[in-house]
Amino acid sequence: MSDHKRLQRALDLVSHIEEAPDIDTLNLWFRDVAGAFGVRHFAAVLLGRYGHPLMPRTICASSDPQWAARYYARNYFQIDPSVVALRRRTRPFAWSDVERPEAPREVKALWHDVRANGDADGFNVPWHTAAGELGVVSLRGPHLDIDEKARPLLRLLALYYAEVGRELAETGDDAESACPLTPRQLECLRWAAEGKSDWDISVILGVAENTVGRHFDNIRARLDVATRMQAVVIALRKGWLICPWGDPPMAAPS
Amino acid sequence: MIHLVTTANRGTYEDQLKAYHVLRKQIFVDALGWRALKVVNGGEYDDYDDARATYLLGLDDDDRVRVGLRMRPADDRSIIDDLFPHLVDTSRPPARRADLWEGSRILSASGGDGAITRRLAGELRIAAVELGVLRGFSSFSGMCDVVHLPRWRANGWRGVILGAPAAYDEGEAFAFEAEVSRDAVLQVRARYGVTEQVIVELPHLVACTAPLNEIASFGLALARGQGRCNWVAAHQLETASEAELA
Repeated sequence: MSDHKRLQRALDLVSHIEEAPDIDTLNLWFRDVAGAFGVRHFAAVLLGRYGHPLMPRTICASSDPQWAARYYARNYFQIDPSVVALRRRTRPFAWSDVERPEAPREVKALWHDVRANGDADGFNVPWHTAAGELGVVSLRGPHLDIDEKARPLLRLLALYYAEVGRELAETGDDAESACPLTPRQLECLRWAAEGKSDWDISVILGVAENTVGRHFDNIRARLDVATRMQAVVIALRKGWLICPWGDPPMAAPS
Repeated sequence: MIHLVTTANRGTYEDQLKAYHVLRKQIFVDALGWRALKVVNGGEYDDYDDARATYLLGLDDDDRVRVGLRMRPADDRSIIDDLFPHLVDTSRPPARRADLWEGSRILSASGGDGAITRRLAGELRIAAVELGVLRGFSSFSGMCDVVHLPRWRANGWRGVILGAPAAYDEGEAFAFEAEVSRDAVLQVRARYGVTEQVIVELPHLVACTAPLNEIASFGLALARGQGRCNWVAAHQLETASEAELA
């Protein structure tokens, strides 16, 4: 696709993105246009307000449940250099702007993991809502093709995607955000996202294996799903998988 | 309440206009680092601060400027058309035409009572659209940094983006036009929970000892009592004092 055509398609989407009737359509439209810039995966995530512990909540995203599950289960949010950079940047930045060769081992593990997932390149758009919340629109792919001319337009489109997604999430079927799961059930779900078996989880939590099985029976019933992976995906989308009673969230800067 | 300042009544607002330009310097030059701007006698001025410029100022009860916006007809020149024409797609009409005004240098002062400033900031956005109905233009243009897209969308204006954003020295910006119509006025008023006109246009006051908001409120009450929908003060108030207004 020519440069002019993909820029024109992006501009056209800016003019009608607010007509998206639901999040699925929004994701489809955004994927169709952003794909011309090498974007394969994307997510709009709200992090919270300054002065409060940052609690990530995915508003809308491309479907990438395995990576999302891995990212949250391994608590990469706590060490992600992009999250650190978001606290002091208002302009978009690439992964190459924040990746350091001298980074700690666990940070290098994050970079290795995301690239093993097929995304070699990333572009983060800081998102400051009208209500004063900090968020980010993350664009990832094997190779992003975003030159200096396209950058402002893609940034504008990414922010529109996030804002419209937030409005749809607040008024659509995803409007209910209260978590129906108990803290113990969420713990089980987090370990399941990591690929742990019932026996593994029973050892980790210090309970009987069939107790873990009952937890998952209750989880599936409460969320009305057939498999635990479906439950993981729902919990990730609604931002339940990182919860106040889990690992301590990263504190906002003073 | 937002005060409309024109060449006819600038004498009434001499101190407030100066304060507005000082705020422009503090915000756009000092805080945002806009290097191309000129500073004269402690205030920021440019070529569009001429006899055709109109200012919308929100004052607190001590007559201090809390919010401000410059509006100017865009039939002869405009910031967008003169300096940033690339922000307007070729499929759109130019940002310089007879039925268009341009808004620029919108600001809110920091410090002070935040609740009052927030209320006035909302009224300022209403006033921009009301001014269009009063003066008979069909839309107003402006520019906004991309980082503020969420706040721009929450303005309550019926705005459209005119073209792809582009980098400028200190950021990335897009150009927009906002509709002026009675429906647009009602929509933006509803956004801020306001049911009545916010703009007030005082005449030139030779000498007054009462706060401008009080004088304006008196004028509004007088005009409403007379059934006037253009809420200009009913009398040419050559002099006014608290005793006379009581």
